[in-house]
Amino acid sequence: MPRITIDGKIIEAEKGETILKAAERNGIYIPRFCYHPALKISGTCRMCVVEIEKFPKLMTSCSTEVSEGMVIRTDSERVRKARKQILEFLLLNHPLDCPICDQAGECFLQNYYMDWGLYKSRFPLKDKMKKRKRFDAGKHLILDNERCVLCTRCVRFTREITGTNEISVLERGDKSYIEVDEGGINNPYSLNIADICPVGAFTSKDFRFRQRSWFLKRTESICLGCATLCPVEIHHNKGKIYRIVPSQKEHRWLCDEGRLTYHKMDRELRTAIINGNAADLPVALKKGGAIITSSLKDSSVALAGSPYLSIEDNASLAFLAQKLLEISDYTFDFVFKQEIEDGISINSDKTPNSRFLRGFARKHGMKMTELNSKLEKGKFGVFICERKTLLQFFPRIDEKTTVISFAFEPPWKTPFKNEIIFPIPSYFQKEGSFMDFKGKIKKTTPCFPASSKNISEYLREMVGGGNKANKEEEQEFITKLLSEL
Amino acid sequence: MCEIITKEFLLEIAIIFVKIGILFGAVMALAGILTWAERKMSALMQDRVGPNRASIFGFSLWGLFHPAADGIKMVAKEDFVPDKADKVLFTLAPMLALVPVFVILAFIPFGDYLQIGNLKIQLQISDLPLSLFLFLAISSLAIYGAFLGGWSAKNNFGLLGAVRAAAQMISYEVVLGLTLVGIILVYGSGSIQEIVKKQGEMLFGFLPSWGIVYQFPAFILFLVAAVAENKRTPFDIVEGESEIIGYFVEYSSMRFAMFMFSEFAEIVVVSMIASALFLGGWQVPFLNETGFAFPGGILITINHNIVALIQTTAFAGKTVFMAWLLLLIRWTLPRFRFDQLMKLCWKGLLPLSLANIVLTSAILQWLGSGK
Amino acid sequence: MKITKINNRNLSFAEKIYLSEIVKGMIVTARHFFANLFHPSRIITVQYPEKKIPLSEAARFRTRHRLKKRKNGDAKCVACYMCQTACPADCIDIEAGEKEESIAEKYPVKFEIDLSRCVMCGFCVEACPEDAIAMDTLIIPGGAESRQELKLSLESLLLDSAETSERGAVNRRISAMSMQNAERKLKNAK
Repeated sequence: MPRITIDGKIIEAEKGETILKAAERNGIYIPRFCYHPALKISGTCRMCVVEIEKFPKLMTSCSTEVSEGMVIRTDSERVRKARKQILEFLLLNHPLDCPICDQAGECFLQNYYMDWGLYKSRFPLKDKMKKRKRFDAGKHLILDNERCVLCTRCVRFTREITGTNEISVLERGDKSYIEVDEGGINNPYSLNIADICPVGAFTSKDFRFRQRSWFLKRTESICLGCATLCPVEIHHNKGKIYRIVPSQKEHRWLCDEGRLTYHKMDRELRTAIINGNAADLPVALKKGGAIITSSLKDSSVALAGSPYLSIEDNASLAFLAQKLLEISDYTFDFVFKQEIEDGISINSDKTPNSRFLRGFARKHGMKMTELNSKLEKGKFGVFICERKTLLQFFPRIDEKTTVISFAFEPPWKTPFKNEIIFPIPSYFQKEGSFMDFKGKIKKTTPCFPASSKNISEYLREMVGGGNKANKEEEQEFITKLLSEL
Repeated sequence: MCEIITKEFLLEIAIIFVKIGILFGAVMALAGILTWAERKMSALMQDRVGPNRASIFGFSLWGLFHPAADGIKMVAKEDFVPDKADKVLFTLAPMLALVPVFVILAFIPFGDYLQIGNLKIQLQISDLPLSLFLFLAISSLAIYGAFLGGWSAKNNFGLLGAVRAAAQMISYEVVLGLTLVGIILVYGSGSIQEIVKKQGEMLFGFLPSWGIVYQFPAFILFLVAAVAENKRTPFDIVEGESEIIGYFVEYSSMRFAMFMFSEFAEIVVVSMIASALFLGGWQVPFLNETGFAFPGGILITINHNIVALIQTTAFAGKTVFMAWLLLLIRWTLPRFRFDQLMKLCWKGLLPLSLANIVLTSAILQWLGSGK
Repeated sequence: MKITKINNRNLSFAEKIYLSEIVKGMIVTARHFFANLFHPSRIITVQYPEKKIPLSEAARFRTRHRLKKRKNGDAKCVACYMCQTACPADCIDIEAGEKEESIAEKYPVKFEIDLSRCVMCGFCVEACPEDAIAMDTLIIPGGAESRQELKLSLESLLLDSAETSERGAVNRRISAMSMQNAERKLKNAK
């Protein structure tokens, strides 16, 4: 364990650790462009230079490993001067694009200029190196070569993480630039490049010009795009989500599909739907209530849980099926193959909560095959389910059966003869627990308040069971279940 | 026999109704104009222009249509009654504030008499021997309007305002009554018409023997007490329109208009009373029943009815002047704090008015014994 | 904390009984009343919507906003949101769009100034990096009959910008001057 001194502070560093990492662990920030904790070291930008005693030259802290008795200064006059000069070199050919650049506000160049630069430009505007501006670099990306500082983070990302090698650096000196292969960057993780780019060279087409970064409020949550449940940060402002990026606390490469899941907020369902036509909520509730009560008499009500719903929502569905509807024809038996096939993030199981249901179904409800066979016989008057899950039952549901479903987005063209759809809030709007494919419980955090009611509230209003299944009992049931997991 | 009585009786009744109509109309018109005059006057006193926007066919007439516009606005507004209010009293209160003001009009002499043939028409609705006391009695009824208005709405701020109003009005009622005692002592009558008639005499041959000459301190005290009775600045802590809210917080629409209107009608009535008691009423110096009689023996004979008209005009002029003076006071002085207000009444005005009575009695006694 | 006690002048007896002072006050107000009654032309009130005092061209005050234009007629604004960020009244609402053929790829699709919220502070003019917004139309925003009328759209903001104007930079020049003055003062102090 080498003992080193950084800015007068004695630090126990680990063997083989770089100076930058040791400093960062102890709360000393060293500016950097090319260094990224999840990528290999390249040492191209020279921004992280520090002064080490007995070393004649300044050293790059990102690539220098610590050794016993090193005395390092990160804030000496020499280091400051070096940083200022490096910034001046980097900004020589940098365009004055800040007002129209999406990176502004979270740009390393901007921040470092304010911290270490603050010089007057000596380079005439007309002499600046003109490069290719604003061109398509793939399905989700736009590249601006003038803004690039050639840190090669993007190059290393496609080489080391995705292994697709679409990006490379061509030419030399001030003519060097980033080149994208023909066909562009189309790997499923391409939007990570816009994240890791320290400047505004790579920008996201999806986020482009939609909001300035300083307006965004940040909420830590999880991505529900697949069973991996990556931790994410949701950036939103005034009731609108603008982008989803990987969490700052626990880094994961987030896939493009997961990042774009927030677009369903734009399509939010606000009214009830009866047979494909929008209807007022009270009307739909009255109609649904009448059908359920009449079907309950000859006990022809079926219900299914959903792997798209949270643990709480599934639990309250099970509770209501037992206590409020008092039926036995319900199932929580959903099994999917769960595996990260590419070794990065994307799970083959696209449902967020099926791992939980695997255990839950053993205690509650019947087997899926049992319900399926009953459905095929067409003995049910009403079938209650979440809309996305419902579609997998589609061919088995009889024409006479009324389907009562709950959806966040407006539905695809309805395949059912009799259908009532109620709007429910998404997990961007309410809290919910999920179990990822490894069995870990994760929670979503709401960004803004929900505009519609929960499933259990709808069911209670429709059936009107009174004291049969009171809310405290339901809450107890859910808390108990969560504590057992 | 019976027929003759009925005829005369009917004529008398008709004449009384005509008198009521004229006086009532005059007061209503004057009070309506006062709402405009107050705004215009305050504007002029503060170097502003004042209301000048309301116009009919492009004629704005210095904003004279504003009272009409206000009236239309008041009628058009929502008549709001709070849920918890005592509905009967809530409706009654504005009326109770307005009615006593008009009742007082009955005792105000606005001229001597008209002689048409054999018919002698008194220019006063009702000449009662103790009308001055009736004036005091009825004017104190106005407290009910203010107090019930604040209390019946069941609004705490309104109630506080009502309590302030009651305390202030009762206190100044006393001073108002006591200042009039001096007048009664001097003229030896409780009838306003009698008092006015006695003010027609000349003191030392050139000074009209008006109340203001004999009872100047009483005049000042009366003015102060009258303004306080009126609940106008500097004694408007009761209403405190812009800051502390008065007894009529919950009132809107015509009910509120009635409160406001009673205030302006009160100005007119107070001006009439003040000019009748202290400014010689309808008396014009050197003018008697037959014409002008200037000192030095110059006589100008005028028909009696024309004399009566001149006298009535003089009374109107005096009333307008008093109203102007009251408005001037309102826009000149800042508001008293409530403790200052009570102190002024009980420690200042009350002893002074008592002293005035004692002094007047003593002088009268001395003069009487000297005679 | 130092307490300064101010000894008020003792009131004389005449002042204590108010009367003479009240009469003095009433004489003052009555004088104004009669002076203005007989010479109404002396009142300096201007009947505003009908009569307006022409504003001086050299006026340095801030008037209704406008957006400047480029030579080709496009708005100079690049929708950088700087004015919206600087605005203390939160009255600017911008939506950005992308334009292929423009020199600056970004342009405002929507640029709305809500005059009913605007406090006329001029921070937007200060903040603008493109010198695209100015408050020099010499139009003083007045009342309107609906809230919508007080919302300036992009079109109405561009309307007053037929010719480019030097006056727009007046704020900036003043602030530069005051900065120079401040620097000079600092130097002198040293």
